[in-house]
Amino acid sequence: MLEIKNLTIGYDSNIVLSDFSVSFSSGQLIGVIGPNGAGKSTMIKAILGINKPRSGQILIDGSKVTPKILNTNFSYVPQKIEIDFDFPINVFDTVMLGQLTRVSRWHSIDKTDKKKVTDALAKLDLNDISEKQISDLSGGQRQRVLVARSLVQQSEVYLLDEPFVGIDATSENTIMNVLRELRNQGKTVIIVHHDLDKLVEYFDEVVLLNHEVLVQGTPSQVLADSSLMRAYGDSLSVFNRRPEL
Amino acid sequence: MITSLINFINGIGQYDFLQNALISGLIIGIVAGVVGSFSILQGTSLIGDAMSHAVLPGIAIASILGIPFYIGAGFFGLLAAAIIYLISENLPLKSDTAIGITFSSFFAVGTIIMTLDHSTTRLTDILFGNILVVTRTDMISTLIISTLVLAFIFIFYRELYVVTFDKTYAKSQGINSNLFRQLLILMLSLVIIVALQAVGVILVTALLITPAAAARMFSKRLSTMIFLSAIIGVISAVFGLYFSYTFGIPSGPSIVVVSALIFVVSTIFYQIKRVISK
Repeated sequence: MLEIKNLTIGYDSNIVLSDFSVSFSSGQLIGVIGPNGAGKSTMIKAILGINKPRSGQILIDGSKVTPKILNTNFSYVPQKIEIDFDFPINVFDTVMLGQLTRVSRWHSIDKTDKKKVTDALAKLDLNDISEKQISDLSGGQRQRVLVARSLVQQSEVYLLDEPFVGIDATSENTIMNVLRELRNQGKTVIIVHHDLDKLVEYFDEVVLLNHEVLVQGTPSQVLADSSLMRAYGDSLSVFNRRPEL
Repeated sequence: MITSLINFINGIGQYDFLQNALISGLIIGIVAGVVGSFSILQGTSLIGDAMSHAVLPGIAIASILGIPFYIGAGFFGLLAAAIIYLISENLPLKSDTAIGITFSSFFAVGTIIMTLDHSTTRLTDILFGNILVVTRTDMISTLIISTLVLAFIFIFYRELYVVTFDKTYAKSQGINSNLFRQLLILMLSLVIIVALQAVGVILVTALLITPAAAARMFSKRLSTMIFLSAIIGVISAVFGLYFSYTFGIPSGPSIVVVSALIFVVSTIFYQIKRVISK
Protein backbone atom coordinates (compact mmCIF):
# COMPACT_ATOMS: atom_id res chain seq x y z
CA MET A 1 0.00 0.00 0.00
CA LEU A 2 1.22 3.47 -0.95
CA GLU A 3 0.28 6.26 1.43
CA ILE A 4 0.58 10.02 1.43
CA LYS A 5 0.19 11.47 4.90
CA ASN A 6 -0.44 15.15 5.71
CA LEU A 7 1.43 16.42 2.66
CA THR A 8 1.83 20.15 2.15
CA ILE A 9 3.55 21.26 -1.03
CA GLY A 10 3.91 24.43 -3.09
CA TYR A 11 5.30 27.94 -2.68
CA ASP A 12 4.22 30.56 -0.14
CA SER A 13 1.90 32.30 -2.56
CA ASN A 14 0.64 29.08 -4.08
CA ILE A 15 0.13 26.08 -1.82
CA VAL A 16 -1.06 23.34 -4.19
CA LEU A 17 -1.78 20.62 -1.67
CA SER A 18 -2.26 21.32 2.00
CA ASP A 19 -2.39 18.65 4.73
CA PHE A 20 -3.25 16.19 1.97
CA SER A 21 -3.67 12.48 2.65
CA VAL A 22 -4.57 9.57 0.41
CA SER A 23 -3.74 5.89 0.10
CA PHE A 24 -3.51 3.57 -2.88
CA SER A 25 -3.76 -0.21 -2.62
CA SER A 26 -1.69 -2.56 -4.75
CA GLY A 27 -3.08 -4.77 -7.49
CA GLN A 28 -5.29 -1.93 -8.71
CA LEU A 29 -5.40 0.26 -11.77
CA ILE A 30 -5.98 3.66 -10.24
CA GLY A 31 -7.05 6.73 -12.19
CA VAL A 32 -6.36 10.19 -10.79
CA ILE A 33 -8.64 12.83 -12.25
CA GLY A 34 -9.39 16.45 -11.52
CA PRO A 35 -9.53 19.84 -13.25
CA ASN A 36 -6.39 21.67 -14.47
CA GLY A 37 -4.28 22.90 -11.60
CA ALA A 38 -5.93 20.50 -9.12
CA GLY A 39 -2.53 19.16 -8.03
CA LYS A 40 -2.49 15.82 -9.88
CA SER A 41 1.05 16.12 -11.29
CA THR A 42 2.19 17.78 -8.07
CA MET A 43 1.00 14.75 -6.11
CA ILE A 44 2.82 12.35 -8.45
CA LYS A 45 6.01 14.43 -8.28
CA ALA A 46 5.81 14.57 -4.50
CA ILE A 47 5.53 10.78 -4.30
CA LEU A 48 8.63 10.51 -6.48
CA GLY A 49 10.63 13.08 -4.55
CA ILE A 50 10.88 15.29 -7.66
CA ASN A 51 9.30 18.21 -5.84
CA LYS A 52 10.20 18.51 -2.20
CA PRO A 53 7.20 18.85 0.12
CA ARG A 54 7.13 21.42 2.94
CA SER A 55 5.84 18.75 5.26
CA GLY A 56 4.27 15.30 5.24
CA GLN A 57 5.27 11.73 4.58
CA ILE A 58 5.23 9.25 1.73
CA LEU A 59 5.06 5.64 2.91
CA ILE A 60 5.21 2.33 1.08
CA ASP A 61 3.93 -0.64 3.10
CA GLY A 62 4.45 1.43 6.22
CA SER A 63 8.06 2.50 5.60
CA LYS A 64 9.33 5.84 4.39
CA VAL A 65 10.09 6.19 0.65
CA THR A 66 13.81 7.01 0.38
CA PRO A 67 15.90 7.72 -2.78
CA LYS A 68 17.10 4.12 -2.50
CA ILE A 69 13.53 2.78 -2.52
CA LEU A 70 12.62 5.10 -5.41
CA ASN A 71 15.55 3.66 -7.32
CA THR A 72 14.46 0.06 -6.78
CA ASN A 73 10.67 0.10 -6.54
CA PHE A 74 9.21 3.08 -8.35
CA SER A 75 8.85 3.69 -12.07
CA TYR A 76 7.77 6.97 -13.59
CA VAL A 77 6.42 7.89 -16.99
CA PRO A 78 6.65 11.68 -17.20
CA GLN A 79 4.58 13.84 -19.50
CA LYS A 80 6.06 13.83 -23.00
CA ILE A 81 6.58 17.58 -22.80
CA GLU A 82 9.25 17.09 -20.12
CA ILE A 83 11.57 15.24 -22.49
CA ASP A 84 14.07 16.62 -24.97
CA PHE A 85 13.25 14.70 -28.13
CA ASP A 86 16.15 16.41 -29.97
CA PHE A 87 18.58 14.43 -27.87
CA PRO A 88 20.78 12.06 -29.93
CA ILE A 89 19.41 8.72 -28.74
CA ASN A 90 17.55 5.80 -30.33
CA VAL A 91 14.58 3.81 -29.05
CA PHE A 92 16.66 0.89 -27.72
CA ASP A 93 19.01 3.13 -25.72
CA THR A 94 16.12 5.17 -24.31
CA VAL A 95 14.54 2.01 -22.94
CA MET A 96 17.97 0.84 -21.73
CA LEU A 97 18.11 3.99 -19.56
CA GLY A 98 15.43 2.37 -17.41
CA GLN A 99 17.89 -0.41 -16.71
CA LEU A 100 20.98 1.87 -16.46
CA THR A 101 19.59 3.80 -13.51
CA ARG A 102 18.99 0.50 -11.71
CA VAL A 103 22.43 -1.11 -11.89
CA SER A 104 25.71 -0.18 -10.25
CA ARG A 105 27.90 2.46 -11.87
CA TRP A 106 30.54 -0.12 -12.80
CA HIS A 107 28.17 -2.78 -14.13
CA SER A 108 28.58 -2.99 -17.88
CA ILE A 109 25.59 -3.81 -20.06
CA ASP A 110 25.30 -7.56 -20.56
CA LYS A 111 22.98 -10.03 -22.29
CA THR A 112 20.48 -10.10 -19.41
CA ASP A 113 20.10 -6.31 -19.58
CA LYS A 114 19.64 -6.43 -23.35
CA LYS A 115 17.10 -9.23 -23.04
CA LYS A 116 15.03 -7.18 -20.59
CA VAL A 117 15.03 -4.27 -23.03
CA THR A 118 14.07 -6.45 -26.00
CA ASP A 119 11.22 -7.98 -23.99
CA ALA A 120 9.88 -4.57 -23.01
CA LEU A 121 10.17 -3.38 -26.62
CA ALA A 122 8.23 -6.44 -27.80
CA LYS A 123 5.39 -5.83 -25.31
CA LEU A 124 4.98 -2.30 -26.63
CA ASP A 125 5.33 -3.32 -30.25
CA LEU A 126 8.52 -1.33 -30.76
CA ASN A 127 10.99 -3.96 -31.97
CA ASP A 128 10.77 -2.86 -35.61
CA ILE A 129 11.79 0.68 -34.77
CA SER A 130 14.33 0.01 -32.01
CA GLU A 131 17.15 1.64 -34.02
CA LYS A 132 15.17 4.79 -34.86
CA GLN A 133 16.08 8.13 -33.33
CA ILE A 134 13.42 9.31 -30.87
CA SER A 135 13.21 12.61 -32.78
CA ASP A 136 11.76 10.65 -35.73
CA LEU A 137 8.89 9.04 -33.80
CA SER A 138 5.18 9.85 -33.71
CA GLY A 139 3.49 10.91 -30.46
CA GLY A 140 2.10 7.43 -29.85
CA GLN A 141 5.46 5.77 -30.50
CA ARG A 142 7.21 8.20 -28.13
CA GLN A 143 4.71 7.40 -25.39
CA ARG A 144 5.17 3.65 -25.91
CA VAL A 145 8.96 4.14 -25.61
CA LEU A 146 8.50 5.91 -22.26
CA VAL A 147 6.23 3.14 -21.00
CA ALA A 148 8.77 0.54 -22.15
CA ARG A 149 11.49 2.38 -20.21
CA SER A 150 9.46 2.02 -17.01
CA LEU A 151 8.43 -1.56 -17.78
CA VAL A 152 12.05 -2.70 -18.05
CA GLN A 153 12.54 -1.73 -14.40
CA GLN A 154 10.16 -4.34 -13.00
CA SER A 155 9.07 -2.05 -10.17
CA GLU A 156 6.33 -2.36 -7.60
CA VAL A 157 4.76 1.05 -8.22
CA TYR A 158 4.14 2.64 -11.62
CA LEU A 159 3.19 6.29 -11.89
CA LEU A 160 2.12 7.67 -15.26
CA ASP A 161 1.40 11.34 -15.89
CA GLU A 162 -1.20 11.84 -18.64
CA PRO A 163 0.08 9.02 -20.85
CA PHE A 164 -2.82 9.17 -23.30
CA VAL A 165 -2.59 12.80 -24.33
CA GLY A 166 -2.08 13.28 -28.07
CA ILE A 167 -1.56 9.64 -29.03
CA ASP A 168 -3.29 7.27 -31.45
CA ALA A 169 -5.90 4.71 -30.37
CA THR A 170 -3.69 1.70 -31.18
CA SER A 171 -0.86 3.00 -28.97
CA GLU A 172 -3.38 3.72 -26.22
CA ASN A 173 -4.68 0.13 -26.39
CA THR A 174 -1.18 -1.35 -26.40
CA ILE A 175 -0.24 0.69 -23.34
CA MET A 176 -3.49 -0.18 -21.52
CA ASN A 177 -2.88 -3.89 -22.08
CA VAL A 178 0.60 -3.63 -20.60
CA LEU A 179 -0.78 -1.74 -17.59
CA ARG A 180 -3.52 -4.34 -17.05
CA GLU A 181 -0.89 -7.05 -17.07
CA LEU A 182 1.08 -5.16 -14.39
CA ARG A 183 -2.07 -4.82 -12.30
CA ASN A 184 -2.69 -8.57 -12.62
CA GLN A 185 0.83 -9.16 -11.28
CA GLY A 186 -0.19 -7.25 -8.16
CA LYS A 187 1.63 -3.97 -8.93
CA THR A 188 0.29 -0.56 -8.01
CA VAL A 189 -0.47 1.41 -11.18
CA ILE A 190 -1.45 5.06 -10.80
CA ILE A 191 -2.41 7.06 -13.88
CA VAL A 192 -3.12 10.77 -14.08
CA HIS A 193 -5.93 10.87 -16.61
CA HIS A 194 -6.79 13.97 -18.57
CA ASP A 195 -10.55 13.59 -18.99
CA LEU A 196 -13.57 11.67 -17.76
CA ASP A 197 -13.70 9.48 -20.81
CA LYS A 198 -13.17 5.72 -20.42
CA LEU A 199 -13.01 5.80 -16.62
CA VAL A 200 -15.18 2.71 -16.29
CA GLU A 201 -13.34 0.86 -19.04
CA TYR A 202 -9.83 1.60 -17.74
CA PHE A 203 -9.79 1.82 -13.96
CA ASP A 204 -10.58 -0.28 -10.91
CA GLU A 205 -10.52 2.76 -8.71
CA VAL A 206 -10.72 6.50 -9.34
CA VAL A 207 -9.53 9.38 -7.17
CA LEU A 208 -11.09 12.77 -7.87
CA LEU A 209 -8.78 15.58 -6.79
CA ASN A 210 -9.12 19.29 -6.44
CA HIS A 211 -6.44 20.34 -3.95
CA GLU A 212 -7.92 17.63 -1.72
CA VAL A 213 -9.43 14.21 -2.30
CA LEU A 214 -13.08 14.94 -3.17
CA VAL A 215 -14.05 11.33 -3.66
CA GLN A 216 -12.30 7.98 -4.02
CA GLY A 217 -14.08 4.83 -5.19
CA THR A 218 -15.06 2.74 -8.18
CA PRO A 219 -15.40 4.65 -11.46
CA SER A 220 -19.20 4.49 -11.35
CA GLN A 221 -19.29 5.75 -7.76
CA VAL A 222 -17.11 8.71 -8.70
CA LEU A 223 -19.09 9.46 -11.85
CA ALA A 224 -22.32 9.45 -9.85
CA ASP A 225 -20.94 11.67 -7.09
CA SER A 226 -22.13 15.25 -6.83
CA SER A 227 -18.60 16.51 -6.14
CA LEU A 228 -17.69 15.75 -9.76
CA MET A 229 -19.88 18.60 -10.91
CA ARG A 230 -18.41 20.89 -8.24
CA ALA A 231 -14.84 20.08 -9.24
CA TYR A 232 -15.23 20.49 -12.96
CA GLY A 233 -18.03 23.06 -13.04
CA ASP A 234 -18.94 24.09 -16.56
CA SER A 235 -16.05 22.23 -18.11
CA LEU A 236 -18.01 19.00 -17.67
CA SER A 237 -18.62 19.24 -21.39
CA VAL A 238 -15.39 17.19 -21.63
CA PHE A 239 -17.87 14.31 -21.77
CA ASN A 240 -18.73 15.26 -25.32
CA ARG A 241 -15.23 16.03 -26.42
CA ARG A 242 -13.73 13.20 -28.40
CA PRO A 243 -16.09 10.52 -29.63
CA GLU A 244 -14.76 10.64 -33.20
CA LEU A 245 -11.30 9.20 -32.47
CA MET B 1 50.99 26.43 -47.95
CA ILE B 2 53.33 23.42 -47.96
CA THR B 3 56.30 25.61 -46.96
CA SER B 4 54.39 27.21 -44.13
CA LEU B 5 53.28 23.79 -42.92
CA ILE B 6 56.88 22.58 -42.97
CA ASN B 7 57.91 25.75 -41.10
CA PHE B 8 55.21 25.06 -38.52
CA ILE B 9 56.32 21.47 -38.04
CA ASN B 10 59.99 22.51 -37.83
CA GLY B 11 58.97 25.19 -35.37
CA ILE B 12 57.34 22.59 -33.14
CA GLY B 13 60.61 20.63 -33.14
CA GLN B 14 62.66 23.75 -32.41
CA TYR B 15 60.70 25.94 -30.04
CA ASP B 16 59.48 25.05 -26.57
CA PHE B 17 56.79 27.73 -26.71
CA LEU B 18 55.29 26.12 -29.79
CA GLN B 19 55.33 22.68 -28.15
CA ASN B 20 53.59 24.11 -25.08
CA ALA B 21 51.04 25.77 -27.33
CA LEU B 22 50.39 22.61 -29.33
CA ILE B 23 50.01 20.35 -26.30
CA SER B 24 47.77 22.89 -24.54
CA GLY B 25 45.71 23.22 -27.71
CA LEU B 26 45.23 19.46 -27.91
CA ILE B 27 44.13 19.18 -24.28
CA ILE B 28 41.81 22.18 -24.50
CA GLY B 29 40.28 20.90 -27.74
CA ILE B 30 39.45 17.58 -26.09
CA VAL B 31 38.09 18.85 -22.79
CA ALA B 32 36.08 21.69 -24.37
CA GLY B 33 34.59 19.27 -26.89
CA VAL B 34 33.54 16.83 -24.17
CA VAL B 35 32.09 19.34 -21.70
CA GLY B 36 30.59 21.40 -24.55
CA SER B 37 28.53 18.38 -25.68
CA PHE B 38 26.74 18.17 -22.34
CA SER B 39 26.46 21.92 -22.17
CA ILE B 40 24.70 22.44 -25.51
CA LEU B 41 22.34 19.53 -24.86
CA GLN B 42 21.38 21.03 -21.50
CA GLY B 43 21.10 24.52 -22.97
CA THR B 44 23.60 26.01 -20.55
CA SER B 45 26.19 27.18 -23.06
CA LEU B 46 25.50 30.89 -22.62
CA ILE B 47 26.19 30.62 -18.90
CA GLY B 48 29.70 29.82 -20.06
CA ASP B 49 29.77 33.01 -22.10
CA ALA B 50 28.81 35.08 -19.09
CA MET B 51 31.32 33.29 -16.90
CA SER B 52 34.20 33.87 -19.31
CA HIS B 53 33.57 37.63 -19.39
CA ALA B 54 33.12 37.83 -15.65
CA VAL B 55 36.60 36.47 -14.86
CA LEU B 56 38.44 39.40 -16.47
CA PRO B 57 38.95 41.46 -13.27
CA GLY B 58 40.37 38.32 -11.65
CA ILE B 59 42.94 37.95 -14.40
CA ALA B 60 43.82 41.66 -14.20
CA ILE B 61 44.30 41.61 -10.43
CA ALA B 62 46.24 38.33 -10.58
CA SER B 63 48.60 39.88 -13.12
CA ILE B 64 49.19 42.94 -10.89
CA LEU B 65 49.78 40.77 -7.81
CA GLY B 66 51.87 38.28 -9.75
CA ILE B 67 49.80 35.26 -8.76
CA PRO B 68 48.65 32.56 -11.23
CA PHE B 69 45.80 33.92 -13.39
CA TYR B 70 43.50 30.94 -12.79
CA ILE B 71 43.29 31.71 -9.08
CA GLY B 72 42.03 35.23 -9.79
CA ALA B 73 39.78 33.96 -12.59
CA GLY B 74 38.34 31.23 -10.39
CA PHE B 75 37.63 33.65 -7.56
CA PHE B 76 35.84 36.17 -9.76
CA GLY B 77 33.94 33.41 -11.58
CA LEU B 78 32.49 32.23 -8.27
CA LEU B 79 31.81 35.79 -7.16
CA ALA B 80 29.89 36.46 -10.39
CA ALA B 81 27.89 33.25 -9.97
CA ALA B 82 26.98 34.26 -6.40
CA ILE B 83 25.89 37.75 -7.48
CA ILE B 84 23.80 36.37 -10.36
CA TYR B 85 22.12 34.01 -7.92
CA LEU B 86 21.46 36.77 -5.34
CA ILE B 87 19.97 39.12 -7.94
CA SER B 88 17.68 36.57 -9.55
CA GLU B 89 16.50 35.10 -6.23
CA ASN B 90 15.89 38.33 -4.32
CA LEU B 91 14.88 40.93 -6.88
CA PRO B 92 11.93 40.88 -9.28
CA LEU B 93 14.31 40.18 -12.20
CA LYS B 94 14.81 37.09 -14.34
CA SER B 95 18.12 35.27 -14.48
CA ASP B 96 19.05 36.49 -18.00
CA THR B 97 18.87 40.05 -16.69
CA ALA B 98 21.00 39.12 -13.68
CA ILE B 99 23.55 37.42 -15.97
CA GLY B 100 23.58 40.38 -18.39
CA ILE B 101 24.19 42.98 -15.68
CA THR B 102 26.81 40.97 -13.84
CA PHE B 103 29.01 39.80 -16.68
CA SER B 104 29.09 43.15 -18.51
CA SER B 105 29.90 45.05 -15.30
CA PHE B 106 32.65 42.62 -14.34
CA PHE B 107 34.04 42.78 -17.86
CA ALA B 108 34.03 46.60 -17.76
CA VAL B 109 35.80 46.69 -14.40
CA GLY B 110 38.40 44.23 -15.67
CA THR B 111 39.08 46.36 -18.75
CA ILE B 112 39.50 49.50 -16.61
CA ILE B 113 41.92 47.80 -14.23
CA MET B 114 44.02 46.52 -17.11
CA THR B 115 44.09 49.90 -18.84
CA LEU B 116 45.07 51.73 -15.64
CA ASP B 117 47.81 49.18 -15.15
CA HIS B 118 49.09 50.04 -18.66
CA SER B 119 48.92 46.41 -19.66
CA THR B 120 47.11 46.95 -22.95
CA THR B 121 49.24 44.43 -24.86
CA ARG B 122 48.33 41.84 -22.28
CA LEU B 123 44.72 43.01 -22.54
CA THR B 124 44.66 42.08 -26.24
CA ASP B 125 46.14 38.68 -25.39
CA ILE B 126 43.51 38.09 -22.74
CA LEU B 127 40.62 39.25 -24.89
CA PHE B 128 41.58 37.34 -28.03
CA GLY B 129 43.93 34.68 -26.76
CA ASN B 130 47.61 34.15 -27.35
CA ILE B 131 48.37 30.50 -27.13
CA LEU B 132 52.02 31.24 -27.95
CA VAL B 133 52.66 32.81 -24.52
CA VAL B 134 51.54 29.65 -22.71
CA THR B 135 54.35 28.58 -20.37
CA ARG B 136 55.28 25.07 -19.32
CA THR B 137 53.69 25.71 -15.90
CA ASP B 138 50.46 26.89 -17.58
CA MET B 139 50.50 23.79 -19.73
CA ILE B 140 50.88 21.53 -16.71
CA SER B 141 48.00 23.27 -14.85
CA THR B 142 45.89 22.89 -17.99
CA LEU B 143 46.73 19.19 -18.07
CA ILE B 144 45.91 18.65 -14.39
CA ILE B 145 42.62 20.57 -14.39
CA SER B 146 41.51 18.94 -17.65
CA THR B 147 42.32 15.47 -16.35
CA LEU B 148 40.19 16.15 -13.26
CA VAL B 149 37.29 17.36 -15.41
CA LEU B 150 37.50 14.34 -17.72
CA ALA B 151 37.76 11.97 -14.74
CA PHE B 152 34.61 13.50 -13.24
CA ILE B 153 32.74 13.01 -16.50
CA PHE B 154 34.00 9.45 -16.88
CA ILE B 155 33.01 8.45 -13.35
CA PHE B 156 29.59 10.10 -13.40
CA TYR B 157 28.86 9.51 -17.08
CA ARG B 158 25.59 7.64 -16.49
CA GLU B 159 24.21 10.22 -14.11
CA LEU B 160 25.18 13.07 -16.44
CA TYR B 161 23.69 11.20 -19.40
CA VAL B 162 20.33 10.66 -17.67
CA VAL B 163 20.21 14.12 -16.11
CA THR B 164 20.98 15.77 -19.47
CA PHE B 165 18.39 13.76 -21.37
CA ASP B 166 15.53 13.74 -18.89
CA LYS B 167 16.11 15.42 -15.57
CA THR B 168 12.61 14.80 -14.18
CA TYR B 169 13.00 11.07 -14.76
CA ALA B 170 16.49 11.22 -13.23
CA LYS B 171 15.03 12.78 -10.08
CA SER B 172 12.33 10.12 -9.94
CA GLN B 173 15.11 7.52 -9.82
CA GLY B 174 16.72 9.16 -6.81
CA ILE B 175 19.46 10.97 -8.78
CA ASN B 176 20.17 14.51 -7.51
CA SER B 177 19.61 16.26 -10.88
CA ASN B 178 20.21 19.79 -9.61
CA LEU B 179 23.50 18.83 -8.02
CA PHE B 180 24.75 17.23 -11.24
CA ARG B 181 23.64 20.22 -13.33
CA GLN B 182 25.51 22.56 -10.98
CA LEU B 183 28.60 20.35 -11.03
CA LEU B 184 28.51 20.44 -14.81
CA ILE B 185 28.44 24.25 -14.73
CA LEU B 186 31.46 24.07 -12.41
CA MET B 187 33.23 21.85 -14.97
CA LEU B 188 32.26 24.36 -17.66
CA SER B 189 33.87 27.14 -15.63
CA LEU B 190 37.06 25.11 -15.16
CA VAL B 191 37.29 24.48 -18.90
CA ILE B 192 36.80 28.18 -19.59
CA ILE B 193 39.61 29.06 -17.21
CA VAL B 194 42.06 26.62 -18.80
CA ALA B 195 41.03 27.66 -22.32
CA LEU B 196 41.28 31.41 -21.64
CA GLN B 197 44.91 31.81 -22.66
CA ALA B 198 44.44 30.03 -25.95
CA VAL B 199 41.13 31.46 -27.08
CA GLY B 200 40.65 34.61 -25.03
CA VAL B 201 37.80 35.86 -22.89
CA ILE B 202 35.55 36.98 -25.74
CA LEU B 203 35.64 33.83 -27.84
CA VAL B 204 36.13 31.03 -25.33
CA THR B 205 32.46 29.94 -25.44
CA ALA B 206 32.80 29.33 -29.17
CA LEU B 207 35.23 26.49 -28.44
CA LEU B 208 32.66 24.98 -26.09
CA ILE B 209 29.67 25.39 -28.38
CA THR B 210 30.82 25.07 -31.99
CA PRO B 211 32.63 21.70 -32.04
CA ALA B 212 29.78 20.12 -30.04
CA ALA B 213 27.17 21.62 -32.37
CA ALA B 214 29.07 20.35 -35.44
CA ALA B 215 29.38 16.88 -33.85
CA ARG B 216 25.62 16.81 -33.23
CA MET B 217 25.10 16.85 -37.03
CA PHE B 218 26.77 13.45 -37.36
CA SER B 219 25.69 11.80 -34.11
CA LYS B 220 22.93 9.38 -33.21
CA ARG B 221 24.34 8.69 -29.74
CA LEU B 222 25.67 10.87 -26.95
CA SER B 223 28.91 8.88 -26.80
CA THR B 224 29.52 9.40 -30.55
CA MET B 225 28.76 13.09 -30.18
CA ILE B 226 31.23 13.52 -27.32
CA PHE B 227 33.94 11.63 -29.20
CA LEU B 228 33.46 13.56 -32.47
CA SER B 229 33.19 16.84 -30.60
CA ALA B 230 36.56 16.21 -28.94
CA ILE B 231 38.11 15.39 -32.34
CA ILE B 232 36.66 18.54 -33.92
CA GLY B 233 37.89 20.52 -30.90
CA VAL B 234 41.40 19.16 -31.41
CA ILE B 235 41.36 19.84 -35.18
CA SER B 236 40.16 23.40 -34.53
CA ALA B 237 42.85 24.01 -31.92
CA VAL B 238 45.72 22.56 -33.97
CA PHE B 239 44.81 24.21 -37.29
CA GLY B 240 43.92 27.41 -35.48
CA LEU B 241 47.35 27.41 -33.88
CA TYR B 242 48.95 26.77 -37.26
CA PHE B 243 47.18 29.75 -38.88
CA SER B 244 47.92 31.90 -35.87
CA TYR B 245 51.64 31.05 -36.03
CA THR B 246 51.89 31.36 -39.82
CA PHE B 247 49.95 34.58 -40.34
CA GLY B 248 50.69 36.26 -37.01
CA ILE B 249 47.01 36.55 -36.04
CA PRO B 250 45.63 36.08 -32.51
CA SER B 251 45.07 32.40 -31.76
CA GLY B 252 41.49 32.81 -30.43
CA PRO B 253 39.85 34.10 -33.62
CA SER B 254 41.97 31.70 -35.64
CA ILE B 255 40.77 28.64 -33.66
CA VAL B 256 37.17 29.85 -33.66
CA VAL B 257 37.09 30.43 -37.43
CA VAL B 258 38.38 26.91 -38.06
CA SER B 259 35.67 25.42 -35.83
CA ALA B 260 33.02 27.62 -37.48
CA LEU B 261 34.08 26.33 -40.93
CA ILE B 262 33.80 22.75 -39.69
CA PHE B 263 30.35 23.59 -38.35
CA VAL B 264 29.22 25.01 -41.72
CA VAL B 265 30.46 21.91 -43.56
CA SER B 266 28.69 19.70 -40.99
CA THR B 267 25.34 21.44 -41.46
CA ILE B 268 25.63 21.02 -45.24
CA PHE B 269 26.36 17.34 -44.71
CA TYR B 270 23.33 17.10 -42.39
CA GLN B 271 20.98 18.74 -44.88
CA ILE B 272 22.17 16.50 -47.73
CA LYS B 273 21.74 13.40 -45.57
CA ARG B 274 18.21 14.48 -44.65
CA VAL B 275 17.20 15.06 -48.25
CA ILE B 276 18.60 11.67 -49.30
CA SER B 277 16.85 9.76 -46.51
CA LYS B 278 13.46 11.27 -47.43
